[in-house]
Amino acid sequence: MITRRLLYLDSQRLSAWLWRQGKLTGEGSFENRREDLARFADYLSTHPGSQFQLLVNVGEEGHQLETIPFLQGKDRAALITRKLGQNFLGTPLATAISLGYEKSKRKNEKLLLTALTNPGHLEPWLACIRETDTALAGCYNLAQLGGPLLKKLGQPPARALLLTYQDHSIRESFLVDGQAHFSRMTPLPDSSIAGIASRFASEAVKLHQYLSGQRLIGRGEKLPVHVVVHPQALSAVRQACVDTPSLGFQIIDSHAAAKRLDLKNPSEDISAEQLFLHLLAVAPPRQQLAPEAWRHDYRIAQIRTGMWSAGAMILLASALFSIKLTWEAQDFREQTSALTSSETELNWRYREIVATFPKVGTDHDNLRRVTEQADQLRKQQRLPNGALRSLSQSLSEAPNVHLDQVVWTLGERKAGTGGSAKGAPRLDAVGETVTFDGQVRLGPASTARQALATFEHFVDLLRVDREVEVTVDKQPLEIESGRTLRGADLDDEQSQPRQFSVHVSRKLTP
Amino acid sequence: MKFERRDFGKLRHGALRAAVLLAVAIAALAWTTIDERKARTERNAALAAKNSIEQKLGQIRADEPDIRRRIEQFRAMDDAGIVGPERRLDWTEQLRDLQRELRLPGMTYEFGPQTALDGAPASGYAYHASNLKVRLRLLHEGDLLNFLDRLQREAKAMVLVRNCRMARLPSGDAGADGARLSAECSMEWVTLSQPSARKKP
Repeated sequence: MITRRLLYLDSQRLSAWLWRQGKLTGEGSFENRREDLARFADYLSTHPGSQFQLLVNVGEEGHQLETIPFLQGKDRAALITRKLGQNFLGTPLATAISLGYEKSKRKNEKLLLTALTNPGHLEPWLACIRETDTALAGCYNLAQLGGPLLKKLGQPPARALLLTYQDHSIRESFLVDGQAHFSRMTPLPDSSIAGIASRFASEAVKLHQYLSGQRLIGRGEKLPVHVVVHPQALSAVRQACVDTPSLGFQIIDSHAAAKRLDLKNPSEDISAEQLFLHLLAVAPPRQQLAPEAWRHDYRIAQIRTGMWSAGAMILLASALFSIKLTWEAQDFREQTSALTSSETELNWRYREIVATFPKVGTDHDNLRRVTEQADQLRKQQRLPNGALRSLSQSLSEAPNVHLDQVVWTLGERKAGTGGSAKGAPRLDAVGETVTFDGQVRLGPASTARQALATFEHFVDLLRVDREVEVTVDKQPLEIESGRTLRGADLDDEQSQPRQFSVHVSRKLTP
Repeated sequence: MKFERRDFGKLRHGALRAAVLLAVAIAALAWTTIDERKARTERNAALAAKNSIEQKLGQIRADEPDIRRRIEQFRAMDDAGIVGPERRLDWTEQLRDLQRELRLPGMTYEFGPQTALDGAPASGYAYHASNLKVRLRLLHEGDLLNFLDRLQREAKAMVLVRNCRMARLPSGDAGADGARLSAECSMEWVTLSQPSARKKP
């Protein structure tokens, strides 16, 4: 947590304040003397982690309205620097506040230039600040806080006068839209309540006349005058400050204002400086007067704070994300525990069922595979009985047909092997084939035509079974055009048996 | 703003504190991330294991009758001598017994080396087959059918007859044994065995 400290510099002395949670605590008062400056340097050294804001209430100040052409970037900055130099004789404690742009075609920018015109008065104090590497957040004059004060108190008129009393002087400010277009400090030789009250009344009239003379207000224009006073001085000020055609007084109780600003310990004396200091702590103006070089250590402190804040933010984000991950991990572990116990129970049930099965020395998948293969093999466990029985029936009806050789093969017939299968059996044999060679034997007087007719009758008998496919490989007499037909003497030809070869295939049914 | 050498000294403590915070943040994040991933992996593994056993349980409940039937089938195969290493000595004795009982005039046979059936798996039970070529001298064709039928029913293996060739003996070859036919058959003697069983001599 950054500790915020405030320095209040008037024409005589500098006072130091600690601001914490709406409370202001005085920590010392220093005059512009060597020993006090050393004491001030010691004070600063004892608070290296604090950030300081300097509020100045001196008479040497300037407020100037300027109009510049519409510019941006470096050109605008250069022109403003030049204007500040021209108006305030090169004081480094100056700033420009933009009041907006004219609505004319050229869009000229209106500026309020504000400066502390006697930097020498601040120099001893600023030297101590620089030497002790103190973080100076900003330098402000009292007039800059007039507008914010009225705004916080809920009384922000477009144009008004604000009069306050602090360190034996009256601060008089002419405020336009919250900005001090003019301000001055009037020393007060008589600090009695009656003296202050009468001086408020007279200074208000003088300021109105001055502003009118400077043509900052219209002749006879009525302005509200806000006067901040201690409760003890309320009645005296009300008696002294009587409304006139050009001035309408509004007296503000400083303690009521402190309460409204949330200042926890308002001053018991009649001064209003603590109101401004508190306001500076809670709502500092955007513009300040110190050049950037004087705020070097403040920037360093900002970087340091930024690094610390970034680290803290990352740690916080990491902590939050870690909590989320930890919660998720815990959730996963609970799920794992539930799943594991469920799996154990299911496994136990599974084993219970498996235990009821007779032991066969293999797992169920292997068992299923080998038994399915066994079923396939069983389907191929065939014998030639059926095929030979069918052949036998055909032969019994064709007595002149004689067989020499029968070859039965399970599976497809292979050319030139007579159906002999090599190697291991396939599991997917789907048919059987029978090849048989034989002769047609008729009497000596039979003719070739009779032999062919007998053979064809035999083949027709084989084809009675519609599930078989009968192929004639060799006929008793080769009468096809594509084959060689040989003959001899009639006796020789008729005495030779007529050789034939037939192939029968059948698809197996499961 | 320009940085000077002494500014780094002013920032050192802040940077160190920020680095410590960053390191703590990274360490916490890394630790919890690893822990969360580990827990997630364990949960996924437990879920997969539970789903697997759930599926197996459902499967075994549905397949229980089928499994019992297959176990009975397997045991029947075991009883028939199909399961286990080949029993070639038993086979040869069986062939001779059959020849004697069926009064076959002549028989020669030759068992080939054992080979794996197609589709044999890398592990577990697998089918293997040994090819038998047998030559017979027969009185009539019924002897062949009886011989094959008894082999299929009684052999200590699953016998798959692949092909048979039966032919008349030339009149000159019919000797005193009265044989009129010759037959030559090729068949597979299929057995079921595990790799460990097959390695035995």
